[in-house]
Amino acid sequence: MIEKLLNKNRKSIRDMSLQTKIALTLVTSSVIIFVVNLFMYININSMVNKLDAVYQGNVKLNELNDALTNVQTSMTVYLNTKSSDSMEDYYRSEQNYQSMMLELNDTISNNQLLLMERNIRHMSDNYLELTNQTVEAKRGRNVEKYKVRYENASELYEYISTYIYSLNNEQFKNNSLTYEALSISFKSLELVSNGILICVVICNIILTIILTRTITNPLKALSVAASEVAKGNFDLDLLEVQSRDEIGVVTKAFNKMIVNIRAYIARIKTSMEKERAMKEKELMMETHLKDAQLKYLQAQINPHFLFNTLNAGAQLAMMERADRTYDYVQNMAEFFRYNMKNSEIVTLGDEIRLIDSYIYILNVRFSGEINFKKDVDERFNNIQIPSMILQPLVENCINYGIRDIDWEGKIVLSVYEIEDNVCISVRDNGIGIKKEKIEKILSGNLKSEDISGNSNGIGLDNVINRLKLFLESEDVLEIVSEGENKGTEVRIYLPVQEKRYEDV
Amino acid sequence: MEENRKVFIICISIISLVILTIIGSLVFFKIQTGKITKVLDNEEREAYEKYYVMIVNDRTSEFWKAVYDGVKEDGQATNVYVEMFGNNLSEEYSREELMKVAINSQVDGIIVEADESARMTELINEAVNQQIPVVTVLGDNTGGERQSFVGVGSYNLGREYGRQVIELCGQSKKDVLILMSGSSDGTNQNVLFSGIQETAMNEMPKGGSAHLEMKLVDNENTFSAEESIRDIFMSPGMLPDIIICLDELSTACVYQAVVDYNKVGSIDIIGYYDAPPILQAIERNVIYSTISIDTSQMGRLCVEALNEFYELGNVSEYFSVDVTVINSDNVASYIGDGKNYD
Repeated sequence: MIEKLLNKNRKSIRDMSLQTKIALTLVTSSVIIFVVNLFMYININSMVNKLDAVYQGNVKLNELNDALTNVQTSMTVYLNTKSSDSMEDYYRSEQNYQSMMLELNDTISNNQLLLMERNIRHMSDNYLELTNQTVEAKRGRNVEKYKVRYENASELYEYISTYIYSLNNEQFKNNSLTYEALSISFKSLELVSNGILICVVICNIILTIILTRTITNPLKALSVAASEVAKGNFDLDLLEVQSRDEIGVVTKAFNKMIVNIRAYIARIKTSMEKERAMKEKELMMETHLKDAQLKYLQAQINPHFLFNTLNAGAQLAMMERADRTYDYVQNMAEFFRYNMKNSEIVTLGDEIRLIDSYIYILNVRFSGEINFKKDVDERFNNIQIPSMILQPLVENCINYGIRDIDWEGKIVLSVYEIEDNVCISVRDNGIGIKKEKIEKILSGNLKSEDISGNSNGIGLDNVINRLKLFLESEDVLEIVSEGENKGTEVRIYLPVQEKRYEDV
Repeated sequence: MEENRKVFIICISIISLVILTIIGSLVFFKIQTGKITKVLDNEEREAYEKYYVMIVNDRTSEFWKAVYDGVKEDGQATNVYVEMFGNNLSEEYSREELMKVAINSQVDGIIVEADESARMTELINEAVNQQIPVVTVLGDNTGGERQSFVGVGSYNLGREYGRQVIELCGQSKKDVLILMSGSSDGTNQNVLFSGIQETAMNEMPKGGSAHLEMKLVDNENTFSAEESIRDIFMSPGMLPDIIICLDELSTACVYQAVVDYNKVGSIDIIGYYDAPPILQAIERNVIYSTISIDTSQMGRLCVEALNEFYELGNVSEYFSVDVTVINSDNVASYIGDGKNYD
């Protein structure tokens, strides 16, 4: 039963928060000290009150004696002078004495002091009666009577005085005894209160030590574990959670942290392994790429060879005075050289020269069928554009626009300024293009089967994408066709600022 | 967990120990102060129904103390408190003054060692007039209206003394000095004297005779009794063979004088009352014998007389107290009575 109760209490204490534990200890000890002090205070107070009362008795007796003397004196003065003042005095003091007298004890007991009080009271009764009679007799001018009564009253006065004096003395003796008793009890009070205070203090110290131990011990264990973790050792035993207070919470969290860190480390290990594998793969791919690039470079040798042979051909034609052959081969060589330059940004002038070469070659090939006209504002020859932009446009004009028409095919390249922009326009008078197709082209949704194999590889799609990247704008190209057999115009707008900047 | 449990048990035991200590100390303190509080509050008192006073000449004598013990004992039994009047007063009042005070204090009864003086008669009458019953004890006032007298019959007492004188005289002739109290009335003492005289005359064996002489010892003033007794010893030629003392004080004085003047053996003392010093003197054969009055009986009778008066309205005029003679033969039993002295 007790075991059960203890266990229950212990559990409830274990469940308390640190703050509650500390507060509970402090409050308990404070309450004990307070109660003890209160008890002591009340006792001291009551004892002091008693002491007061003890001496109050002496004070009262002295007052009584004074009042008695006043009665006697005023009566004597009245008997001497018969003045109304003294009479008034007498009655006042008589009244005063009467009221004081009534406070005296009137019971019979074996307490000597109380008996003396009783006797004083009764004697005073008689005395006052006698004095009244004396005063009465004096007023009635009964000389003989008042003299006798005065003597009797005086005698009684002496007795009462002696009695009061004796009682005072006795009380004082008694007071000495009670004072002694009081001082003994004060001493015992001091002893008891000191004892209790020492006891409470010792208990407090022990409780504090125990309390701080229960706080610091888990903290110590925690700090040892934490420093182990700080050193990098995660393979330590989990800490025991002893209480459910804040330290318990921290310990639990610490344990959880260690478990989580372990899991995290394991995860990182596996992911690192994965990454390593991936890197290996990547390296392999890079090797392959390098390999491919090597092969590509090897492939580039051929155009050079072709270009050189073409040049040799051109020189041969010149030596043989075959001018047209020379021109042709020269243009071919130019065309291939341009392709070989492999530079991304070129000037508009370069592009136009490439178109010239291209048209020349095609005209030789197709015996002058292609009517090519240029309307170029020479000011803009230096503006920069991505390479291989105009050639595919012209190639498209030839391949799709004017290839299968009955009339003479014309291609017009014009460069002009319009609203602060430089417009590069490639226009043909061929079969034209449907609006749906234009939209498809511009949105990049043109399917591969729509494109015939005649292209040399760089399609309109590629041109549009490169322009977009170059101009950092979506709206780079405009395709205009007024209907079937009414030709097609492709316009490219370049910002004129660009050109001016380049000029400067 | 085990350590936790230990700590918890230690905590609990410390706290309970402290609480027990505190409670114990507080109880101890309460008991300690409780006694004192009682003293302070005058709680050690018992209420009584009636209040009698006892007025005697020599309050300090063992005799009156013994009588007062008897009075007090009987008073307590009948719910009466009797005060040895004048004990607590700072001034030493005479019996008459104390009577006056008692009358004015309106006590319920007065027990007084009276005498036959007119002043005493007047005071007794005044008391009786004020509905305060008066009982005289040991000394009577026959002229007054006292309710009752409790005492030793003087004639009987005289006979006892006479017998002692005869025993001492034997076949020889002795001078006997009887020390009479100067304050007491003549009548009683005369009766006492004639008691002694008659016994000594009538019962004296042949060959023996006693010459009785009476001397008044002035005990009206303080120390006067002792002085007048010393006076007797100062005149050596006049010294008697036997001195009879009729009160405790003169017994003590004569005893001391006999020792001081180296008369032990030549003067026999017949004392009065069985106070321890007197008993010791008997044991040492300095005092021949003493008359013991049953003091507790005397006290009891006084209270009973007053109580009876209150109950019945009247009371017997005279109560006699038993007397016994103590001499060296039976003194041991009296000393053994627990009245150890020294």
